[in-house]
Amino acid sequence: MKAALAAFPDLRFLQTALPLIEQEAVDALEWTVDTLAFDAAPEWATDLLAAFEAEDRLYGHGVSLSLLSVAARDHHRAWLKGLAEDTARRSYRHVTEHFGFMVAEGWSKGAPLPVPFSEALLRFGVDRMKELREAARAPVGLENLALAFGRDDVARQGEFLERLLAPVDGVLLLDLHNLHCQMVNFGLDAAATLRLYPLARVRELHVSGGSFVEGIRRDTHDERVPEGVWELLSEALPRCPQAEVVVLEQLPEALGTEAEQEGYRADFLRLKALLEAR
Amino acid sequence: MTLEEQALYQSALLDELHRGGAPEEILARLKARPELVAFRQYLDSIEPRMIAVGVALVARWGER
Repeated sequence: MKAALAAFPDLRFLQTALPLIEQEAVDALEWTVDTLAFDAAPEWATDLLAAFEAEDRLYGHGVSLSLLSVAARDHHRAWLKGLAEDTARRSYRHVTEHFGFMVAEGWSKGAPLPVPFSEALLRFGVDRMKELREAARAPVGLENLALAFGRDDVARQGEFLERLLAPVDGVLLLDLHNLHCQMVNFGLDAAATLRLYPLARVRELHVSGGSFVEGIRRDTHDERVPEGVWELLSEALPRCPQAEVVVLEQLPEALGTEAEQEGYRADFLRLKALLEAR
Repeated sequence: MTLEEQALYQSALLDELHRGGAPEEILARLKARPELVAFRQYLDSIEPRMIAVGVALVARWGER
């Protein structure tokens, strides 16, 4: 099982991660393919990605496809064209995106929001997953959302994901802080929450931190990994037999101080030790 | 729910989250839209406190 970092084209990330990379503690990197709208990364980032790609230790992740936006076909085409150009010059072990939608008629950017299930939307999503697979030139998958508007969203997301992934034999990126948000916000326990998801499809997991805003747990990626997520990781790993990598995510904006950087490295080394002890 | 109805719902949700107000008011405005009648059961399942998160996300990340 690989311990990985989510890499960003930001010197705060480089400054924080470099000691870990230099001591060869980092088994893999995840690169957010659309972080620069598919423009070229800085030379240092390109070189770093190439080093991990050369050893088949590079994972791709997208944030702005907006898979289930039904009135965003031009947006989809442009995004997929960008990905196809990216994967023509760089290969990933797999490429993942997010469940949900973020743009709509009259909206060009946003954050992923949950969607109510329908058979028509499922068929639409499966068609987009096939396009994603073609552009990715690799296995593709989806990440579970943090936000649920209600218990219906909590209950149905796992099944919706399974039905989107099955036709492309896709992988589930199980984001444990996102699950943690739902557990905290809706008073759920780990076992019941994990049972909602197609864990046999999990190939990658995310761990990260977040924060409370007006009493609601949010996936803000700006804090250290909380104990609840570490406990959830220990609960989840034995139930995910195909999992091969766990990625630590923290935004570079939250890596500005020495204390934040030390905390990040401590979280990564804790992850590394936990995986090596299995 | 047809795809056309889904498109109307997605656009209406972003518009109403952007327009803002109390979460109960936002939900009431969505439920009052005749084009969203197919979503009535789903809208009834939404908890107002979680709508507040949607408002924050659209305010932070949404762009027309």
